[in-house]
Amino acid sequence: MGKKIKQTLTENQIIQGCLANNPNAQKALVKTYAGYLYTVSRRYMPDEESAKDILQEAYIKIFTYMHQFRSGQGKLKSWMSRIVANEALRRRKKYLDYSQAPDPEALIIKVNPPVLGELMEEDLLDLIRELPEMYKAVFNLYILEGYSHKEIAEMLGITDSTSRSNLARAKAILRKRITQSENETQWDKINSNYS
Amino acid sequence: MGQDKFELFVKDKIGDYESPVDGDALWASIQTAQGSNATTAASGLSATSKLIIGSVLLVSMIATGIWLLNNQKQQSDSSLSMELTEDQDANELQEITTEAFVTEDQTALNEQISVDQAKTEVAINNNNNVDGNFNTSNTIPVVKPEQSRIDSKTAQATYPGQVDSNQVQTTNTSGSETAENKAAVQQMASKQIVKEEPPINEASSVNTSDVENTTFNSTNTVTASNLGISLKSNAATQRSLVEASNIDPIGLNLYQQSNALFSNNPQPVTCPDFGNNRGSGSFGFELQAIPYYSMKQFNALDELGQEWQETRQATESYLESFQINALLRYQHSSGIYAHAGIGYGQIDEKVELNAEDFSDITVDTITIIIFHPNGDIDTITGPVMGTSETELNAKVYNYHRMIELPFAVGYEFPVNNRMGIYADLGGSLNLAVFRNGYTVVDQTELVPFDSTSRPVYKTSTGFKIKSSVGLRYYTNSGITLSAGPEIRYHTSNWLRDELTLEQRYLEIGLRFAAGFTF
Repeated sequence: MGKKIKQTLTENQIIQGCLANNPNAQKALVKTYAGYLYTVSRRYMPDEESAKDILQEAYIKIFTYMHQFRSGQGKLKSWMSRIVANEALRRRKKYLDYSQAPDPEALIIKVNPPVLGELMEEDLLDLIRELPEMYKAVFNLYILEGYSHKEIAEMLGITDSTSRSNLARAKAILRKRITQSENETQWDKINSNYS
Repeated sequence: MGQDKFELFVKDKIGDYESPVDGDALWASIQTAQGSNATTAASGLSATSKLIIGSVLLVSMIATGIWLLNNQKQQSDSSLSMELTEDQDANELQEITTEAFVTEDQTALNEQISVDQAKTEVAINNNNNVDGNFNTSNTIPVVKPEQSRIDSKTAQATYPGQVDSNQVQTTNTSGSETAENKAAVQQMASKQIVKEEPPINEASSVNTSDVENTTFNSTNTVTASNLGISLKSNAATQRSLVEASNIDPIGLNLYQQSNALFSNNPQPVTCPDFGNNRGSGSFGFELQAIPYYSMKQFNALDELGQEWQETRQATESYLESFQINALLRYQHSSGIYAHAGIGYGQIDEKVELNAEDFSDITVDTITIIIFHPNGDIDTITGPVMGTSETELNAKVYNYHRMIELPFAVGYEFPVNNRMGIYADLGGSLNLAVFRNGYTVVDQTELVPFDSTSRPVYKTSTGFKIKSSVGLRYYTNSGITLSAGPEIRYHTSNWLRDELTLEQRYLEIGLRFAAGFTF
């Protein structure tokens, strides 16, 4: 009776396997990065189902275009993250005009502000997702994906200044929402960690 | 906390955060999606390939089949021509007299019925049409087997005027001639002129050549039949001949008797079908011009798509569209034809955007005016909220230019020798599309077709099915002209798949075509 040996593939092995359309490598790639990429997708999409759809589509594109990834150009994780972000933006783009001002209703907080001391990743994620679309996209792309304002402007069909402006507003809104929590003083503790 | 600190905080908090997700379930769904995509791609490719390959195969099969048939016919035709030539060269048929027959039959028949075959001009044109003109003074009509078919339409086309030169003349009869025979011959003589349709086919000519080798064993009897005579005349004439002379009904049992006579060549000869003077199959070139009316058809997949559809319907209008095709065409005389080639199509549209955009503004203006008792007036200014109304007026012209691969298979019903009614069914596969223009999005924004950030259209218009019926006219010079309505439907969605609106076209046009046969 054979003995199953669970082998952990390295990132390079996964890449090589995916380039060869090896299902095991593809599965390893999915399982390794699913959680992270799902977070990326969730930051853009309004609900969990659509986020999963985007993730699925993104993975198919990742497999398809894996040959375009060169390890020297950056981390595989970042490359995949950008594919997920682009896929999500592509899906949202049709319905959105990133150059327009947000709907006033979008500025109303729909998520209960968490107590800062208990601000968890999911809470922050929810707060980001509650941002108006035009702010959220710029916020995610600039802060979390690492795009420049020029790149963001090109991606979203807006001007550089609009991108900067939207980022500033996004941060202001997000900060305001966070500080609306019961105990604002705890911000100081958090601040101290980044001083 | 400063801006940078806030960014760091967010990035640190969720930058590498991994949301809980079932990796196995995700992998399973990806596999399913990959499978369906592959299946879709394969089926799409298969559908496209099938259309192309099927069409090519169909055309090839038809062409091959018809070529084989043609080849057989041409072999037959060429052998016929050979025989004719040999016969004519030998001049052995140029003087075939009844005297010779009668002598051989030990019959003293003085009547000479000479077949002035030398005066027989036989011409075979490229379309296998036999152009026969018999100047038969003292001659008899040429034998025509039952299998021989002469298309009266062809005859009329080839010979606009009836040729009445076929004559049967008898000078006298000998005493040894039987009464029956005499009566027959005299009856024929009394008629003097028997109308004969001038065109003959190779088969009949072959039988004349066969006469050369024929041994006549008639017993003192000369009848039209055992002379291998075929008189194709009108029914009344035939009836009168039969009644008067007891000659075998012409054209009924003649072939069998001819075979008996022409024992050296008993095999029936197949006569080529001259059709409507169009040949049995030919390749040609056809140029089509199709102005048509395009009806844009939308299909919204959700409410947002519905809104966008309404916006586009309100802002976009049709201008004109047309298609030009250059086609290689194969036509068989049975009526079946196929064509395929290259085409160029264009759809022109207009976008007119007339909208009002409202935005909230704040202006500093006089808010309070104070009238003092001494007549002084003071004003107090302050911010006043207002609404700014911007009128958006835009008019742009869009075009979609397409390079396509059209093909069709059809059938043509002959109306007369000049005209036919055609009906065909086919498709057109898009090879490339070039677009320029704008689409209105979100009611007030014009997005260019070539926008990389917000692309709307696919890079191909895919496949469309088409069908047409109409009239085709054949000129003397070999040029064909045709016209008829054509209906086409784009089965492929023009808009990108991620959008929740689908766009297709139903087109009705008028196909004008001109072509020629190689």
